[in-house]
Amino acid sequence: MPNYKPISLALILLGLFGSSVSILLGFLWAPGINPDSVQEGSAESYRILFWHVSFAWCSFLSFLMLFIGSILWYLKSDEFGWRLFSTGSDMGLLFGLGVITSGPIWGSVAWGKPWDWGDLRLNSFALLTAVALFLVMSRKSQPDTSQTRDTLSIIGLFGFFLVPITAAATTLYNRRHPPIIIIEGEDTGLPDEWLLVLILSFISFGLLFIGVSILNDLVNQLESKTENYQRIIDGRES
Amino acid sequence: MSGLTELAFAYVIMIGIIGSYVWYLFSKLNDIQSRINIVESYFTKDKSEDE
Repeated sequence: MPNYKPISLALILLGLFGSSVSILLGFLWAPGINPDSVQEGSAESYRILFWHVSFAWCSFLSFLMLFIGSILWYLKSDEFGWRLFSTGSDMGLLFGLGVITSGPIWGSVAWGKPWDWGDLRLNSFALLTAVALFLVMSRKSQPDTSQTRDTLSIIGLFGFFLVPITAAATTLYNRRHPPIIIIEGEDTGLPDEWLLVLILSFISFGLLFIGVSILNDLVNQLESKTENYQRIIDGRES
Repeated sequence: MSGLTELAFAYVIMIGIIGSYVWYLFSKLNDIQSRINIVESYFTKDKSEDE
């Protein structure tokens, strides 16, 4: 097996460097917003966008990985599919947690309250992260059999159907969460500086996402290798 | 105040989540690799004794 550890380390370091630069640029270079156009005392808090959005996009990528893995496992019992499933669920939980913890902190400033139980996007995203949490906990606690994998891959497929609902929620049912602002429109669009910082942030998070995914997969593979060795040792002793 | 404290808090949480998970993965990887090395050296030794 090729040694992917240095590759993942390089990607993670590059990603962390780029995302750190995006925070600095977001604070020092990107212009602020008009304080009169937002809730009093929340003008600066909008700079959360530079990481919060990239976190959310990476979580959607994770759920795409989970979806492809679920299909490959369920239809073909493909081992690579299960590796995608395992990494996708871990990454979905990681980035989902980042979104649902940073979002309410910003919400408490911008909206005056951290959570709105009537907002479709907030709640569907929380449900999506809960699905990832369930999948990760189940993988860790259940014996690794074909039946377990079949059941979990079905739940993974269900989880992915929440992605388009969550993505379209701000357009179809906009109650609290800001709409898609990147696409230029009558009420939307971003200043060029904001857009550039956001693109830098997303590219950096992309590298980070790939690096962490490779590392995560490496750990999962080595774990199954130790389980195999354990079985061999148990077989010799009995 | 214009939400800067909350903004800093949110960034610290996001950095903490990423940083701690990467740290966890690297330490787990090193731990598993050292365990595998021990088991593999045991198997190699066992095989050479059989021969």
